[in-house]
Amino acid sequence: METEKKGLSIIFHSGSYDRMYHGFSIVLVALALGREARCFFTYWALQYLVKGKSVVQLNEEGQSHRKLLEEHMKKGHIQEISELLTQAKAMGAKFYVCTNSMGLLNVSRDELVNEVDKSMGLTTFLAETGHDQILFI
Amino acid sequence: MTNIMGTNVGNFSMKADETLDCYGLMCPMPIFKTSIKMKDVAIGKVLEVIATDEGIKKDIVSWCNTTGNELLNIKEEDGEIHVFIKRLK
Repeated sequence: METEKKGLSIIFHSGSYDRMYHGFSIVLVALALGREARCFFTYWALQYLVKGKSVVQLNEEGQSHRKLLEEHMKKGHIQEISELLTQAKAMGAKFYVCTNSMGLLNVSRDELVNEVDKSMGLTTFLAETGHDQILFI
Repeated sequence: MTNIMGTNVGNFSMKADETLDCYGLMCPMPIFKTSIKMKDVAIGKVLEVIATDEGIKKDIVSWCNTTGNELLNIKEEDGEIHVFIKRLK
């Protein structure tokens, strides 16, 4: 089946940890199934890629489940985004950041983690994804 | 003793060439780690994955079908799930 090997592109917009986490879960499973994965970080998701910054931010919905999430994190059931990033990168995922969002949040390329492949605009990203499946998180 | 695929396995214990400990890990980690570990397993050899996340019982079937590996057996003992997969390619 051809669709099985179709690449997956995810646009990470939300900075809420629960959404980021699940987006990464989708990336890891796609990689496990032998699919290519490309991730594009915009707006509030960008802060998770800043070097030396440990972020666990939650939006309103996530906030109401904070206790549950913290329990699972303590038990090691769920990991920090930086750990998932390293693992996904090791399996071949590509990480791109939105140039416009970098300007907006005043983040320079040097401040971003080494896993980041390139910064680019949305047009370049969409051109690069071709016929991939696209998700917006 | 029966395995969860419904066949009687008696005291049969399957021999694995490699093992992967996914104890306590939640979806999607057992499947993701299996896919990484499988690269180190030689073709024709058997990997045993030990997990506690129930989801692996169905997800490993899809993973094997998609990646072209053979699911040999799934056994459950004292809350531990033992999955045996043969690397085919």
